[in-house]
Amino acid sequence: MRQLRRFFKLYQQFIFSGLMLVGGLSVLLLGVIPAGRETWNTLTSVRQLQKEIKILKDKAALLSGLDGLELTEQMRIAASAIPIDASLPTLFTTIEGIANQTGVAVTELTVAHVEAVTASATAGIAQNERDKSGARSQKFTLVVQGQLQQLVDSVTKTLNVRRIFRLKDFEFTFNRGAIPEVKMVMEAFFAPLPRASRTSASPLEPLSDQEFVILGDLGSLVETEFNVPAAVTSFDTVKPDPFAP
Amino acid sequence: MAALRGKINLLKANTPIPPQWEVYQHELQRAGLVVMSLSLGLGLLVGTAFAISRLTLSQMMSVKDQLMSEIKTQEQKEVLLVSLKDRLAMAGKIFASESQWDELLATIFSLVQPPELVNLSLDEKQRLKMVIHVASVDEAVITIGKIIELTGQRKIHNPQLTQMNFNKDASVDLSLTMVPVFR
Repeated sequence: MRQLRRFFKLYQQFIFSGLMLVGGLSVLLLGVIPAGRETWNTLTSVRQLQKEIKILKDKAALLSGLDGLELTEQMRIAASAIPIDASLPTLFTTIEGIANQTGVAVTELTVAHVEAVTASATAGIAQNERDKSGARSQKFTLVVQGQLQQLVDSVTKTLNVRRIFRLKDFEFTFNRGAIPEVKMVMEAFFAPLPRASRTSASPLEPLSDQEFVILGDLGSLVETEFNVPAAVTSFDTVKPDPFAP
Repeated sequence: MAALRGKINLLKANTPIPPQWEVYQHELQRAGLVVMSLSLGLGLLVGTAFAISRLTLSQMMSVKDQLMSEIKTQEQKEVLLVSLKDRLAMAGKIFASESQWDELLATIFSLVQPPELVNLSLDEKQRLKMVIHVASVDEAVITIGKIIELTGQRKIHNPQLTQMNFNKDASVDLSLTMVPVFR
């Protein structure tokens, strides 16, 4: 015991300084560095959050500045060009409208892959039916009869109605003694509503000038016998009383 | 005196450490002080930064939550806008890739019409295929000449006469293919 006391007395400066050094290093290694790392992570999160908040602020400002009714009307125009599903009823009424306007007689209208065009089946539609534009397409064949000018008008009108069709193939036949006819293989476009892949933090841009031009072009195209699909009109304000007339 | 002799300690109470050890002791003392003050100073700094950053983070989280709930109330508009933008982008691409068939058909029908024109179609290679029936070879030459004019106008290219039949009644059946040009 006496030896130990003597040792401590003799080396007390060494021991004290050593303890200070070890203690200081321990605080640095076990306290300051992990805390510094944690602070850095927090600052990174703050920086990330700043960006998100900027996006959210912009988005909130954009959304609050939008007129709901105007947006619904714009969507109605866009959805009448590219509906949310294959929308066979509007396809038929559009063809019927064109036939009425041009005076041709529709002798055949065949829709391909009918099983894949119902709303529930669109998710399983084959990839090759997706157009380069990103829209899905429904192929159909139309045969109309009439005089030459009527046939030309029907082709022209088909390509210039608001419901967007693409002419894939055609055949004009003018046999002697028979009524002239044209067979058109066409595609009608549709695009389902976006799935819930977007989050509230996803950035949102207002309509660009180019998009306004396209919207104007769509609006100027003739809408023949068209009704907006029910699923699109459901974006309108919800009825306060669903049982009200 | 003789009694005290056994009790007097003539040795030094503290055994002196070697002189070179004193240097080490001094250095060690200084290093200990430096490390300790450094760790305390840095600890204070990091602690303050940590506290401020956590406070900022929690404040920003509440701002974010507030904005998210604000956006959530306008979700309907967001879905509409996103769908609208998607459709407009698609429509733009479709319009850009659209072939102007109506213009080309109008041009072709201004040159040749039924009953001379028997058939007008597209083949699998998207080439325009025409079957024309004319009353005489002269008319066949005139018709071919008109079609060749379209090449000059850059409305078609590579016109080819694939078949030519001379009938007993001097009429001629022509089969032509050409590649339509769209601007």
